[in-house]
Amino acid sequence: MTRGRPAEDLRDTALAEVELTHGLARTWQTPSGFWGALATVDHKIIGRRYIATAFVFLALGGVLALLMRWQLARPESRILSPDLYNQVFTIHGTNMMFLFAVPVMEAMAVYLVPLMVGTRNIAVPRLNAFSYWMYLVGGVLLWVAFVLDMGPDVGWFAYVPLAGPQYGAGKRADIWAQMITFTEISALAVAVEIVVTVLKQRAPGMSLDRIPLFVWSMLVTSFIIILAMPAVMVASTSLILDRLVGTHFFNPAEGGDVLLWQHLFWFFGHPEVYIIFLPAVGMISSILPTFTRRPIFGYLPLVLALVGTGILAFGLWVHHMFTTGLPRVGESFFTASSMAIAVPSGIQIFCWLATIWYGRPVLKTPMLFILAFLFTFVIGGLTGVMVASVPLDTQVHDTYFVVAHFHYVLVGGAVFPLLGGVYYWFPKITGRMMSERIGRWVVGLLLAGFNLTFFPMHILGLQGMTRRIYTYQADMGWGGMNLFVSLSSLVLATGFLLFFIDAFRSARHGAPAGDNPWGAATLEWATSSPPPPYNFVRIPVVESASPLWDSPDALPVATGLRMDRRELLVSTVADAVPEARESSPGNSIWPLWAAAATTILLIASIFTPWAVVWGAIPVTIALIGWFWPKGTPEDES
Amino acid sequence: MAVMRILAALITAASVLWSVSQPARSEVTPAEQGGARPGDGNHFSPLDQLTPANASHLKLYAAFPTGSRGAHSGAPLVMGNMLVVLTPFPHVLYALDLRKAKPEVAWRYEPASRGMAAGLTCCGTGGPVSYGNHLYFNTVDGRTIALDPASGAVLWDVQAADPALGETLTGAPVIARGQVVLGNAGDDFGARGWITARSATTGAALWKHYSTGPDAEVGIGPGFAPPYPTDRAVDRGITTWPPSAWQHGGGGVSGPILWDASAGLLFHGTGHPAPWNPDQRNGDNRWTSGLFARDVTTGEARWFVPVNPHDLYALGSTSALLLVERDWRGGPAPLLIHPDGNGHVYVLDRRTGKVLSAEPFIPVNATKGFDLAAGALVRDPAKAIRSGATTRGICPARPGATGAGAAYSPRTGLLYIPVRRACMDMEARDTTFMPGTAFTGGNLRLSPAPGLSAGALVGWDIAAGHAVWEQAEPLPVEGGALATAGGLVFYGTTDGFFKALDAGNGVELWHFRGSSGIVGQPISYLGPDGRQYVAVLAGLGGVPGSASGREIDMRDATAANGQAQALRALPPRADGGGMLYIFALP
Amino acid sequence: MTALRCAALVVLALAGCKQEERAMRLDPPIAEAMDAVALMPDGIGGRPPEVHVAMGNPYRGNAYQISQGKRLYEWFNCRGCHADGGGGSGPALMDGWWRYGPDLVSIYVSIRDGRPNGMPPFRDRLTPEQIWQLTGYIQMMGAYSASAAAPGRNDRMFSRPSENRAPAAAPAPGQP
Repeated sequence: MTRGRPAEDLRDTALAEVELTHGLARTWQTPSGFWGALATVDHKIIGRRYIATAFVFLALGGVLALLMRWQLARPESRILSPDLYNQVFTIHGTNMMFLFAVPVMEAMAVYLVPLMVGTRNIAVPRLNAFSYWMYLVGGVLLWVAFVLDMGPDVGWFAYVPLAGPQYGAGKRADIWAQMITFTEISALAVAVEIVVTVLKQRAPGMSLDRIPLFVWSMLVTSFIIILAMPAVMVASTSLILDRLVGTHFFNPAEGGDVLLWQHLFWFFGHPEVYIIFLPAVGMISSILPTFTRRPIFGYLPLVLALVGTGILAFGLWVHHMFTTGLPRVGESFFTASSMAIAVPSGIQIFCWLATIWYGRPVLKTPMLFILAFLFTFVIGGLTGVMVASVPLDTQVHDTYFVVAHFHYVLVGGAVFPLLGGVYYWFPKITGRMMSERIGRWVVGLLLAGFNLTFFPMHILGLQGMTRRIYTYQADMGWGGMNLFVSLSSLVLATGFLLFFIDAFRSARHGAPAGDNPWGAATLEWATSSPPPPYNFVRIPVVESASPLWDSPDALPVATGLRMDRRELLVSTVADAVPEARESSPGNSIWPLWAAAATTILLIASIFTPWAVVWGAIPVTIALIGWFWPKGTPEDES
Repeated sequence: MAVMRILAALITAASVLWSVSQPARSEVTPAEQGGARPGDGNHFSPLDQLTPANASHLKLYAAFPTGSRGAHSGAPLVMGNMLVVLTPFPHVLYALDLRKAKPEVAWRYEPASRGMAAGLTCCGTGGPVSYGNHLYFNTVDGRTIALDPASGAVLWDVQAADPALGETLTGAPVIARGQVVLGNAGDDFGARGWITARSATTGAALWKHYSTGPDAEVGIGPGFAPPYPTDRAVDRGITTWPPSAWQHGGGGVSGPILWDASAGLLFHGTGHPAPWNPDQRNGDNRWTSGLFARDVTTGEARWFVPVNPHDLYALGSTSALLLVERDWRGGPAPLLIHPDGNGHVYVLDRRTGKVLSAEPFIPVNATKGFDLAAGALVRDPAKAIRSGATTRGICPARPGATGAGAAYSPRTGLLYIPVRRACMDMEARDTTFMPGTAFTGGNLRLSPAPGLSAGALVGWDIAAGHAVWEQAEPLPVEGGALATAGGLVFYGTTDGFFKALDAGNGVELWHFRGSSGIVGQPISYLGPDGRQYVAVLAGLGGVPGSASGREIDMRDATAANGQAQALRALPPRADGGGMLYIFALP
Repeated sequence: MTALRCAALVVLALAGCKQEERAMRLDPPIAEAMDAVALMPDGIGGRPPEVHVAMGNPYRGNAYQISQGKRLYEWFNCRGCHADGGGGSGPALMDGWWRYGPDLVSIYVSIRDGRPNGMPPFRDRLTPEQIWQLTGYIQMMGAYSASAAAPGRNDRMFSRPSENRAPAAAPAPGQP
């Protein structure tokens, strides 16, 4: 932060272009080298890290999936021991849900949302840095435990009493529960940042009805996170207390309840899948206009569908508990609500279909991924309506039918749009295009491989093959189809492999992309690829929902922010009328120290409850350092 | 001539005096002895030298260390000029000569013992009994032994109970018509209960009847006339159990056995069914937890009254039994009084077994009154036991509201009941029968009843059906009470006090602080010098009711069958080892 | 740099974590050799079977084996006489005082062969491996120091703090 010459006007109104860009770069840059990397608060650097880490976890989780398929390819196989298989499926699920699916969507949001709303940095950027370190530690905790043969083996949702103190020997379930704490703290932090950014830091003129749909979806997702994640934190904390301290939350003999775990977990667990799905929906709504060359059809219904999905998502959770003996009236209610949520999803699908119908489709890779999504997600949605019915669910609960269903909706509904989004925004993030040719191969292999792998699982489930079994007898008759599934999974794996290869190669040798290679309409394409540290030279002013299409030659901008210190514009919630200039924190190492202190507290509390007491001391010190007042610079200007 | 007449008068007077001063030899243990094992169970001594006026002057006459650190739950026996004491397992029988200034050991007898029985039960046996010139006693490891005290020779020694099946003998035998009648314990180990009679001269088995199983083995025949119609069906000892569960169904006859010579009947209670977990033995579980009347010669049952059918809390019906002849609502009636572990005083017509009254003598919540027409307790469904669940705050707690030591005084008409007031949380779990291991299936956690002291001695008016007075005690009263014709009630407490109360109004007149808690039955006798003595065995053996009483860790709330939590107030020094205390006026 | 990281991971993986290992099935020759304790003539103390060393002494510090021992304690009526370690008909197991010695072999032989004064033998009811699991658990009940392998509470009515809350050692004040 330069003290500068007080008499001179350092706002961007008064400065020439070159001096402005140099000054802004100096103000907003992250120093190079190791220290800069640790102390950065730039949402783009943190977002890139986040995305890369999440994809590393995707690859690791995929390796586990291949191991499972190898084990199940033949009956009575001895490749994985029962205990190792238990760890593998638990960590596959936990990793994919907590370390890949949610974080990658948040990561894309961390990178894209400030750019899409036209601001310089995400709100509370040091919290952003902290959340990444917490996420990284949580993931490392889980995988190191697995490598040490002490990975959790109780399933990704760790039902008690199996995960409880009597049946869950050792520290495995405690590691799972603390990993939850790490990732939930991280997710909550990012959710808060996104809500504040979207509501208060939008570019002037970006009223609520001009917000890009991806930003809308991230706003709704963030609210879901804020309301749902506390339930799983309460559950995992209660589990640790039961195991470590001897409380009786889940002990029926002393007044606790085993079903309490399921309620708490699924009250989070169902909104969790919408946390994963809605950002993907937002990505589709961002990609489709670009590749159909028209604004999205039904902006208002799409927004209402997002909000409606978000609200309804909280009324579905008991459909995971249909076989627990709950009263029939209650189960019927949740059948109805589980089917009802198909309505907003259906609205969205029809709006997208209308966009394609009334537009001029360009069949590039991102668009192909969207078509793959439509095919796959609709199948998953249909089986979803099937399992929403209690009698059918009672038959297929805990069988491969459910496994097939949720992979269809997760892979089809989240991974395909995500990969489409990666192809779409890769040029913006790295400045280079991915290969279109390889991209088509990736789509084809993934679509074919996925359907060949997971469709037969519906049949296996109806034939009675249960989940989470490490092997099966030859005379069950499942051997042939399992072998087919395992071989098909190699096709799926090849598709992913190609994707990673393409991503690595293109990052170094891809064709250079300009500012807006796809001709898209939203604000992130208004700056260079990759964007400079300060995102925009001057804050753009928005006059429509597709600013780059409606003002193709020059964007109107707002001026008046200083270039010698970090400032951004705060605007009103509804109409984005500028209200104030807000200072944005600079690079700081305190988030790393706070994350380290919290790490020590949480990991030590796996072993002793006293860690909470003694571990609070370094956390307090780190937070004091973080929040130490540095004057009130905005009052001085 | 005059000299001869005077001499004759003197001799007559002397012989009259002598005969009066000698204990009478009869089939019923001498009445003036009282308190030991009288056939009527009243624990009433007709001696009246000690009265409320002079009781406060009682002094310790003699103290004899028994050398045993177990729980001394029996009573001493006075035979002629000897006081006979049986220590807890492994037993030593001491005979003390009362003619010496301070009683000293005349002889001792130590039967060989099977150590494995030590883990099966907590305490000693009821003590020795006498018949004719002979001495009879049971051992915990299942033997019944007859001795000739004059020569010290063993007349016979039979293995009546088999510890390998979990059976032990914890009560004293009763001599009736030349038969030694005894019953086994071992309900907690799945032993099948029985009562048997052996010849007093040879020890040969005369008859044996079980508490469960087919009618022939239970002794139910054409002479069986139960007061309540459901029990008239055939083989109820099988049909009221899951298949073959009756074979290790409990029902041991470990409590008092009464002998009514005029009616020729034996009366006894049967213990609780096994296991404690009621869901593993659906059905009424006949003939456990009830009262039998049997013909003394053949042992055939005359009637049976269920007291705790399908016993939910493992209470059994082996607590005190008393034969009482008194007025009941109109005219004189032969009554059987039974203060039960479920907290009610049962008054039955001895001839038919019909329950005339069953009033609660402590606050209970497991039951909500007694239905006289049906002859059954009304149970509170909120205190039902389900396998796998915990039910809280059940009053009374196992082992029951009272033990075997109630007393009755015909002078005051009051029943003196030593009382335990505890409530429990019970968790029932499925269990498997494995011989040699406990067959219970329940975890208990006791605590004193809220707002009340943990123990008391209650003075109960039988006719009115309510308590007249009570003496509160800080710990449950495990020992017995002795009522005397002089108007006193004696009893010992778990924290080591031996007290004398006024039998009419319950005022404490005298107490003695012993070196150890008292769980035994006091007796009173006339010494060779013609004075009245009171004797009691003291010795707690750690936590009462547990075989490893000294090795209990009180931090486990379920230790000693749940008593650890309730007895945290037990002072550690209330356990100085076994002592025989004898008291008299100075 | 990457090679070094990979090597470190491999070393870590090989080291494993003995506390958390789960051996769900013993090879038959090892299972047979588990009964071969060399007992002192008076029945107190002795040498454990040699296979224990080869297996890494799992019955002292392996959380899974000890939790299996805790389950066997429930299933085989141990509670009927010993309560939850506090005793009843049988002596207390949690007070740190051992009539026949605190070592694993003495406890193993007590369970396998029984003891005078009422402890029944379980030789015909449990396999040697199961008796060793029980032994490990019972020794932990009376342990003098806390162990990371100690199990948590059971899903039962509360009787005492679980083994992982505090070591059992010091007897309650005032106990003889």
